[in-house]
Amino acid sequence: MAEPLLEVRNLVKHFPLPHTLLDAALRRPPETVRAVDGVSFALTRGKTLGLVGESGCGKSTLGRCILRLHDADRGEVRFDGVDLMQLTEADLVPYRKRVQVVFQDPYSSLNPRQTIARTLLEVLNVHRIGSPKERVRRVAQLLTQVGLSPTDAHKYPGEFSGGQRQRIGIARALAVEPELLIADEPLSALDVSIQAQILQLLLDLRASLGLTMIFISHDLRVVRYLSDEVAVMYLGKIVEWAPTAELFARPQHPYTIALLSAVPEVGGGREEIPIEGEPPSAVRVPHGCRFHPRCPWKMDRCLQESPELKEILPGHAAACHVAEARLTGGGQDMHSMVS
Amino acid sequence: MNEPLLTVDDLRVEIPTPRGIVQAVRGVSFAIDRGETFALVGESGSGKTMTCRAILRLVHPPGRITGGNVYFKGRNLVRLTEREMERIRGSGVVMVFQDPMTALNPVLTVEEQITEALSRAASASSRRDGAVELLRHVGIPDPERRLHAYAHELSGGQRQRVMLAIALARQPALLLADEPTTALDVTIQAQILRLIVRLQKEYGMALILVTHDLGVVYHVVDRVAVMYAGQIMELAAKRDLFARPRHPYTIGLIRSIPSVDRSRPLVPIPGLPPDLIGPGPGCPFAPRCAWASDECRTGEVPFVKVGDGHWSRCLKADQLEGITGG
Repeated sequence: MAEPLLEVRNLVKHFPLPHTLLDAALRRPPETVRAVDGVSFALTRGKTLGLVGESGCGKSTLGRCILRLHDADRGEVRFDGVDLMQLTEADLVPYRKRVQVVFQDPYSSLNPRQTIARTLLEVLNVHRIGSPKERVRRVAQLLTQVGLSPTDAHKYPGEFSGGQRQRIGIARALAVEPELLIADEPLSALDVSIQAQILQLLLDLRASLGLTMIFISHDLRVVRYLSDEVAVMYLGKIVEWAPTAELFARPQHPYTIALLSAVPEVGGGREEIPIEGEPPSAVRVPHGCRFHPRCPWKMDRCLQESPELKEILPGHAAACHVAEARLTGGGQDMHSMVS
Repeated sequence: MNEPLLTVDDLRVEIPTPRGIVQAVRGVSFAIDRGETFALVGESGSGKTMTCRAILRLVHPPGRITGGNVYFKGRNLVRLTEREMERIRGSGVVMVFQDPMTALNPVLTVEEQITEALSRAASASSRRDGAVELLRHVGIPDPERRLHAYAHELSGGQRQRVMLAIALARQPALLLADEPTTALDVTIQAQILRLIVRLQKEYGMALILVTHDLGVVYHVVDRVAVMYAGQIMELAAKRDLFARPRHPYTIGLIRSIPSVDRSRPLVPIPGLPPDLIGPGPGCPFAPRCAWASDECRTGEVPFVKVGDGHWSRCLKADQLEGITGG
């Protein structure tokens, strides 16, 4: 088995909430947002992991911890065998080239007063890639690669539409020939017809460049097209992990089942499994299984004991007492209620 | 024959900008019956939201309605005084918006905002009871306590529920919902859509849902108008629109939606939407259309009937017969 390109172990990132004098006077204990609360996974070179979940589940924070845009509190982020968390800012520089990111809103991540050429040249200069002449050629090549024209190099970000700006964001990330690309909701701000264009572009680039990708999204529909494996997050934890086809065919965790049934599909979707209520705050994480307050199938055990993420079918992991009990021959059959 | 509840006839909206005049809505016409559910679908800049705002005469200046009529229960809203229009907005036609945080008043409690919308004739205590009842009806847990909450204390889903409670307090005949679930997570979106459908039936309201999401359309409405570049491109019963689309833009939209359960390839629509400043002659979709020919780029394209209750603004509509989106 090949060594994974990326391995995350027990990653924890909590954000302390402001603790005011009044809080202290009233003897309120300091509170923290448990954004990422013990996440482990490994990603093989050349594969794409889809990281799915709703707002506040910690998927973006996890991405930022891997990029060291946030410093995690605990855990390891091993990239190509090296724990990035142990590196100083200076030692990180070569890794900043090997791991790149594309954000949701390319507009706020592009300098409005710089032409596209300058933005891209800056990246190449910082990482000392090629001679000045080669860099100019590389800019033209990058623009072509993402479906823009080399003549666009002299325009400013404001002259482009949302979809074109996302192409520029992708070109900038690819400029340094990264090995791992983290794409954080790169399609969410785009219209459907444009979203499909960018999705196709990511598929093409991945195939031609052999990129390893983490694709962060709230949209299961999009994730299905782009990912080899999918991790579903809920309140700071991965609750299910499986190869994409397996996850969509045999979802095991009630939250995944509910997410899939909530997608408004043309032509009618899956039988609706309405889950009521809203995700609790990551400040007051429920005792036991984090999903139990919204789970239609919860058992007594779920209120007491937090389930571990473990392999319950070949290559398919879930953190759910109910799914586990069902597979080992007890408990209710969720799928008789679903499929 | 019954008169429609709402008739929009050749509506036009223009917005002057430093670069020129944006023709946001270019001759939109449709009619809705009482209790009917209808969707205006389109991408950013298609004019779907502007059409809705124009119906309620809520176009922000310097944008303005430059032509057309809007008949609601037989009265032409375009001709009403601002005072009369306020009465219509207060009871006949009510709009809920994508972002309830900006639509709710941040310095008034939930109770104050709902009771304000309830009939003045009722006593204070019965209005309070009415507010509690409405909150319970839209699925707010612990409504008595929630009466005292401010908008910022509510989650996105709860804010949208409160917006719906305020709308229902006015007992509208027509609810305009502008992307009501776009800012919400998918499980919450499903809850709010179920709620809207339930309320629409219980109150017998007509509904115009403005959305970019054909998936949402499929689950909520009876009839659909697909908008592009300020015009309705196709108008049909939902079933016909998805089974027998007769406009290349509709076909393109359907084919570019990713699906959870069908592993068909995505077919993106190439190119970009047009600039609505001084749009040229011909079909605005022609530059992105695989079927387009010279006549599409030059001539006026009429809105023609292609089936029972099914209309398309396409010269090639006949050639599209038998093509499905999926």
